[in-house]
Amino acid sequence: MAEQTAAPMQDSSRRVAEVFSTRRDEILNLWIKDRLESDDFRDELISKKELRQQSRQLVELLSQGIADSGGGQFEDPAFDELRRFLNDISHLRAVKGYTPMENATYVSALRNTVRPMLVEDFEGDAATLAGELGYLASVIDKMALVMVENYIRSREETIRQQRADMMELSTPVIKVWDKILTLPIIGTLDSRRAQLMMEALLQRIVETGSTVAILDITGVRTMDTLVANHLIKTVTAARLMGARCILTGVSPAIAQTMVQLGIDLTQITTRAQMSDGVKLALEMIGKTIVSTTALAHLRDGLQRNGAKPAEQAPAAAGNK
Amino acid sequence: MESTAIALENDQDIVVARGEVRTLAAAIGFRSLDQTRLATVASELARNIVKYASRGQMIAQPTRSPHGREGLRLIFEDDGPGIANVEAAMTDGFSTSKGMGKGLPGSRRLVDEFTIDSAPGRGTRITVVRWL
Ligand SMILES: Nc1ncnc2c1ncn2[C@@H]1O[C@H](COP(=O)(O)OP(=O)(O)OP(=O)(O)O)[C@@H](O)[C@H]1O
Ligand SMILES: [Mg+2]
Repeated sequence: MAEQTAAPMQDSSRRVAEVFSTRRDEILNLWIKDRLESDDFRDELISKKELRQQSRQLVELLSQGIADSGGGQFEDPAFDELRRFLNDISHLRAVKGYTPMENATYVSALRNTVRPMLVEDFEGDAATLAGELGYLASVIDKMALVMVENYIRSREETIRQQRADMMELSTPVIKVWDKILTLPIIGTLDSRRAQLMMEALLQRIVETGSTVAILDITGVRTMDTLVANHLIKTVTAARLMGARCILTGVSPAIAQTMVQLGIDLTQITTRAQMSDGVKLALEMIGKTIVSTTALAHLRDGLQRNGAKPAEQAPAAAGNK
Repeated sequence: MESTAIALENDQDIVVARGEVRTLAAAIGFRSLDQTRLATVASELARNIVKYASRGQMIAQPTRSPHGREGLRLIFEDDGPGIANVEAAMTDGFSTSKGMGKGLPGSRRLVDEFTIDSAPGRGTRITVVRWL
């Protein structure tokens, strides 16, 4: 008696374990039958065969857990394998389109299947019956909880993924010329987006072997210490990778605010307009933009001086 | 005009607070530069709350001085850990998180009035005002 009160849940004579081992097939068949007949069963989502397989494994792992833990609580490591299995199937079912409610009902229905068997077996022993029913309920409730919790986690994962995809879309790194990248930063920069953008830029610098990157913040209304810090770190990292950065589109309001905040952006090369930035970037890679008339004059001059019109003379990077 | 309270718990809330401040500032008649200043202060102080206190709130109140001058008052309050050494925290470059340590001292430079009330275990309350 004293032993029993000290560790009621570790009662190795947990009777429900017996029921599970002696009547396993019966439990399984009844449970599956109940599921197949219920309104919840949606054969467009899961095949009968698959349901049967899942359910068989679940019942086996459950009775294994009850036996190995000596009738212990669901938190007992003996239930680890069952927990893992529940995680797997709830994820699978979430992907297939089951609702968390349906996931929970699937597991709870097992209790309704086993309950009459316990009643039948322990009819004359009210105390044991109450104990066993209570134990069964506590384990199965926790199993149902795992199914719901994991469902929510799977959905959150999906949402996070979608958000990441969206962020990636909103951080376009564009190659404007051989070895020149631009990153137009538009909208609101929160810490995560700033981080992602900077990572994307560094990645593209490596992929394209670029040596100049133009960061355009024309579309940014507020820059705070965090964003400035990301910018400065990116410029430093890019420099270590052999690329120089040009910051363009700094509005007068942002420029003054930065000075008052005490953020020193003077170590970053800055140009007012994106177009000035492009011009500078071309110069940095040894190219310049020359108007066609200027180019003609240059040719004439060279010809008058008796030189051949140089084919690859001042490399023109476009027309004005 | 009425005052607005914005709960601060995550990055998105900081963006909302910033936008709200900008809208209010524009409605009061602040020019673009001052709108940016105020939005930046909101960004800094709201971020500090999210970062160091996990949650708190910003209250934005259009206000009028005894001399009839219009302005915007922003209150940032949290029940977080508080700041042990306020003087140090208000110094440029001081950061317990490898930040730039410019948020508090920089914000003070961007407004006309700045009061900070903070003690370990009692949370932090910062009130700023910028006059039109
Ligand atoms: N609401 C707050 N609750 C608790 N501690 C704070 C709070 N706000 C600021 N602090 C403390 O004051 C320090 C200075 O804050 P400040 O904003 O000046 O710099 P920072 O946040 O470290 O860096 P950043 O330049 O990115 O803002 C912080 O590092 C932090 O320890
Ligand atoms: Mg800060």
